[in-house]
Amino acid sequence: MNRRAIEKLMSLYWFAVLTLVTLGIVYVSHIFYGAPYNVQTIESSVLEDQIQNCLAHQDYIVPSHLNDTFRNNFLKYCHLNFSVEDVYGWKNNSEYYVEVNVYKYDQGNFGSVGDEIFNVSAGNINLKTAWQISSNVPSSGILSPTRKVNTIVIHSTEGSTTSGALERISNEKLSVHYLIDTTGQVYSQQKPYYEFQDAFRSPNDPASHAGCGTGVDKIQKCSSSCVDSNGKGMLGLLDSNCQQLTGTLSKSQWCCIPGYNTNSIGIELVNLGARCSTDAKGASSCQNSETFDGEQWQSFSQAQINSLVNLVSGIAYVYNIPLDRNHIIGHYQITTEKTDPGPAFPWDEFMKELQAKGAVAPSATASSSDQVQRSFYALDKDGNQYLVTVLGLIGKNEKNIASA
Amino acid sequence: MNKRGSEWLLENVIFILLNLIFFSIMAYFIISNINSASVMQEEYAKSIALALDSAHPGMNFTIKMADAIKAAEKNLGKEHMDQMVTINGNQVTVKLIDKGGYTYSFFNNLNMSKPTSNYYLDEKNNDYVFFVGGYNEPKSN
Repeated sequence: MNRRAIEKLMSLYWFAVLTLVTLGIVYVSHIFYGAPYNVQTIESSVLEDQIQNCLAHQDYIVPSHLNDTFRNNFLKYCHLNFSVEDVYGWKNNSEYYVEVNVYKYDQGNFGSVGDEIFNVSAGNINLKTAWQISSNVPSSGILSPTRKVNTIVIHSTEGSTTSGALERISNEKLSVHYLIDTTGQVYSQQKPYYEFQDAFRSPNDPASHAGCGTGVDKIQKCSSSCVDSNGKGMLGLLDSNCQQLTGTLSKSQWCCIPGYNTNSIGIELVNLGARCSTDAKGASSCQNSETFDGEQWQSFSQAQINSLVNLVSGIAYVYNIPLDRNHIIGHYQITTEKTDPGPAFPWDEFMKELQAKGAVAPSATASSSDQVQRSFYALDKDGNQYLVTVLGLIGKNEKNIASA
Repeated sequence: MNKRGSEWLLENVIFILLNLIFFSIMAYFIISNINSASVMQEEYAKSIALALDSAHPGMNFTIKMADAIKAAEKNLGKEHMDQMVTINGNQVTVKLIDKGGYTYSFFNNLNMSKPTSNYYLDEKNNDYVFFVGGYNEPKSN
């Protein structure tokens, strides 16, 4: 090929490169300007402003608002209208979700958050689930799993409050990946409960939630080399003779399977366990409970189970964990020293719901990860202090309208 | 100039012209996207909805919409300028092109559905003026 031909070929080559670059720029600008401009984070903040102004005036909470009448007419009292006329295929009440929780707050006692005294919610609760998942579970597209995780361990706190449970975890130098309170709220390192950030670990880092502890470890390790008649490895707590360890065990029979901290994710559920108490009038500290072997165990709330299903579904997707009882286990399956989550945990119902949902990518269900929960402090006329949390979520399915 | 030199010049001139044409098309495409009526529709519908979400009865506010008004006059015609902004229930629609429009909802339960008394086009100042009258009849949860 002579020099002229090479020059012509090079011209064509550069022309082709230029064409490709131009088309690329046009395509990117089309994508950029074609996508809806997202104002939902600002909208969420304005919604939370409106609710804050509705609940408190100049730092004083409106006392008449903390009752059932207000709860039942929340949208009316706060001048909110979540109904969107279904002319463009939007469903009523599906675009917004608000939730308000009011807690007692003791500034003198190291700013401790007390019991919840009031809550109200309205709108599409599925938005909350999507928000929690996107806020808590690393999406495979955003944060790749950098740790091999093959098991999810479910615990219960054996306490009634989130702060109490996290305080104990921190004091005992333990840690956990997630905690779900009785309202279904999920807390994690990305979204910790107030000052208790130290109690949480990223799902990509091991946490100290399923170790054997020095006491048990000194006694014996459960056998992990047993096989059944079909040659399959036996799971559960087995003694040296491959016998299942059940019932009340003496301390010498205690055993533990080591190594779970390395490859597992720990989820704590706020629950009293068997610590329900009865006062002088016979009223139980557990609103709902079940009796097993003569002991009263607190029931798990449906909101808690729903959040757990969504959370485990997202984690299972990210870390490719099979949705079965060999990989989603209770703490009691690791050590004979523990019983949690306890007999009141509805394993059958939970696994059924989880398997029906399957492992779902967190990013596929979530659209509102930038929207954040607001907290503010307020007083009543007697000088009592309250902590109020307001969650306002927007989940609009935007589209261009063909003809307005 | 010899024949070879003129050929070389011609080829390069054509190459440069083609480059200029390509860059011009690209620049036109990007600028038209930025200023296009469809982008403006979305921008103004959302701005109005957010302003209404933050508003209280008795407030009034003005939104400068000179570029949108110009686009609406061109695409809808002067006689249809009343269609440019409409508020139906709790949805704002901004329409700047004949077959189009962008609708966005607001959650504040304001009664804004009366054109001319709640909102109108101030053609003199190229503004849209909004008067927040009061709340709608309340609805329970």
